[in-house]
Amino acid sequence: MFAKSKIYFSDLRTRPMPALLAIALLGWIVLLIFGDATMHQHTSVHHHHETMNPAVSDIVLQSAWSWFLMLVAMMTPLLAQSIEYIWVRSLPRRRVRGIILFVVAYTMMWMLAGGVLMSIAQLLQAIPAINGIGIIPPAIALAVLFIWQASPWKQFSFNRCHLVSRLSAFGWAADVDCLRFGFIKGFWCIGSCWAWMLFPLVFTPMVPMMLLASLFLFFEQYKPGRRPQWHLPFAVGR
Amino acid sequence: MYIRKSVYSINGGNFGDGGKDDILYWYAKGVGVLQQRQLNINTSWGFLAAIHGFDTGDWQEHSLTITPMASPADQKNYWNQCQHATWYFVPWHRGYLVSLEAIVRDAIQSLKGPYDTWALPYWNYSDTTNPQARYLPPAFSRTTLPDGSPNPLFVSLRYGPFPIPSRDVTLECLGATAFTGARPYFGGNGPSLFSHFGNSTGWLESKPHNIVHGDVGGFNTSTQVSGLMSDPYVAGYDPIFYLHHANIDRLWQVWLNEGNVNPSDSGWLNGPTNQGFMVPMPNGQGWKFAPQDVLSTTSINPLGYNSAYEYDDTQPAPSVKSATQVRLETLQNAVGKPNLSFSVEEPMNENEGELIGANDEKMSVQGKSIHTTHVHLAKEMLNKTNVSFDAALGGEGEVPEPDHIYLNIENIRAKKDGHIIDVYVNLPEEANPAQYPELYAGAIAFFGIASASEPDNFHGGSGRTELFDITPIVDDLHLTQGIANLSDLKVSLVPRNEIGAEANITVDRISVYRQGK
Repeated sequence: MFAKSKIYFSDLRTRPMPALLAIALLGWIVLLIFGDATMHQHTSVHHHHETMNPAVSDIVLQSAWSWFLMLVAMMTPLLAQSIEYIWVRSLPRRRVRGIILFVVAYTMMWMLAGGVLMSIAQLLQAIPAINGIGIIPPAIALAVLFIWQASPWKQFSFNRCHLVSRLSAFGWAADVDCLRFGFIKGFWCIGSCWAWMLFPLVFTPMVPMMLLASLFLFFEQYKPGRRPQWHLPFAVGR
Repeated sequence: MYIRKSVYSINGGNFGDGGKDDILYWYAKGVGVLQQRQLNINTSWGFLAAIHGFDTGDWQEHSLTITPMASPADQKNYWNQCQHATWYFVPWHRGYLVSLEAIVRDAIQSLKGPYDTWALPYWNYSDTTNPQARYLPPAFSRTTLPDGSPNPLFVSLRYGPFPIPSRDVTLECLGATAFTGARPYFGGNGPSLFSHFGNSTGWLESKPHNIVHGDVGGFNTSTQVSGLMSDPYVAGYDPIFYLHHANIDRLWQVWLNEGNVNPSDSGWLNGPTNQGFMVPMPNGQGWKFAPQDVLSTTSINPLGYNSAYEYDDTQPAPSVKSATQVRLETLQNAVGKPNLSFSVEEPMNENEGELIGANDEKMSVQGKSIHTTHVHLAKEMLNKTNVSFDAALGGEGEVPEPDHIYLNIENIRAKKDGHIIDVYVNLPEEANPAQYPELYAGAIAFFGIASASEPDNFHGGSGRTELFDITPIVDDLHLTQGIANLSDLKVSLVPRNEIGAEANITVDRISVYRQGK
């Protein structure tokens, strides 16, 4: 087991993982300093909306910012293979530009998903607490997570999340292909990971749950594909 | 110590008198015993074949027995283990062969045969001193044994051309100086440049391994079904499989005897993270192994079964010059500087590749006609390459080696295995490709590409990526016309057989890479 873990450590040192981990770490730091509080303000509106009454546009903007931080912290280390792929398959002068276009498209997909997931989280949190303990929202989110994780749809998305798409070498075609790759990757990544992102949104304290989810997703990405069918939710291996 | 011998060294690859030295006779008898066992017994012929690969559809298509089905636990622990397009290719197949050999030996013992000396023979199709080498050893095409009983080594599903074309069995792989790395490498990709997306293979695996699989199995164009050997899900059912792989295993030792070394990376020595290797031994017990357990053939001792072996011939072939040596001599002659040499401070295979150009469209290959595409080249990248040529050829004495140039056939996908496609660079219009061996880049053998094209299985859906060293072709362009003003390279895909629409062969992109400073 120890020997196997060395393989993961060697991957941590392989380009571009160190850079991505640094970016993720920055995301975590910003989130810990500023993010957690604001996030809960907006997902747990029933606690605060009577005392504070900020403009709707402010809420949307701040929610978007919190969500973005969450993405940076949790998703950046999952992009190593795609970024390396663009690096290797692009002309040297186009590498950075290709990666930026990919990341922009990928982030756009997740920001849209964030709107939906944060709305669901708000609805869940509107469920009245039993005896003052808000146990129902996280229980529902956890159940959803287990079911999704075990489902063939999760596996179907996971398998496709690892595919690469053709990149043209020159001109507009190359830019469009990097964008397209980002949209496609984002789409299947959302399919694979959305339930993991929903769960921390309704859990207090939030950050430890995010960390748990990040660790799971990080190791899960190394698993090979398998047939989409009902599986034990957290079984590893083939 | 068992000695694995060349199949042609005894009785010319045929059955003999049934005596204790009649390796193929006893192989046939042993295989016959295994074939009598039912699929759910882990020492049966079918079970052993399924360890390499099992797919219900493929087995049914090839009329192989799929009952009584092995238990779900046995399927999970043993089946579909074959390691292709990874750097575990050679060590996994070594352990697999050790298991098969021990089980056949055990069967030979049960028949009171020469179990104490019998070892798996190997098929050295690359032996240029033997005019028969590229033919299927005769014992495998006879329908009966000398005693008139059915021959367990015979299978009808072999459609390949015999003799195997000589260019399919040349041993450029032995000229590779690294096991893994960027390229060229011998044993398969580890965590390296071209490895992550669209699995690519080491040179040994690409040629002769994959292509001999395709040549022997072939493809029946009338039924649109491949031979057993050309589909990894059923290849292990053909008894010739194990002689082919004994030769691949032998070539690993030859390569080491040339002074090359295996990886020392713990990721290689300990095997993959997601799956352990396990093969059955004669008593039915599973032997778990990792690459580090099979590094030396003379000390393999799984679960107490003495399995140590050597090959009768692992001398480095004297005729195999490294690609670098061949290149140096070509350039020395071209510029008339016999004292030119390449500096060896920084081995080329450590350097990262850079894209020079690519074609515009995804291709689909069908029928038997030549499919041509143009790889457009970026001016600034060609200049880099050009500078490296000029620096080398304009210098005196020790100079840095100019760029290596590779053709990258990216994300090849197919629904069916068994086809072979030859690849040429700058083939003239209407030309007969066979007349231009100097423009030949290599062959794509569709062995395992079908499973690598299916997203919902272990191998993922990005297909296979084949990398061909076209440095000699580009060197020649440089010497004859210069490359600074080249706008594109023409790449031709030449199918060996009629490819039906149902094979659904596509190539995402064809590109050219440079590897240099």
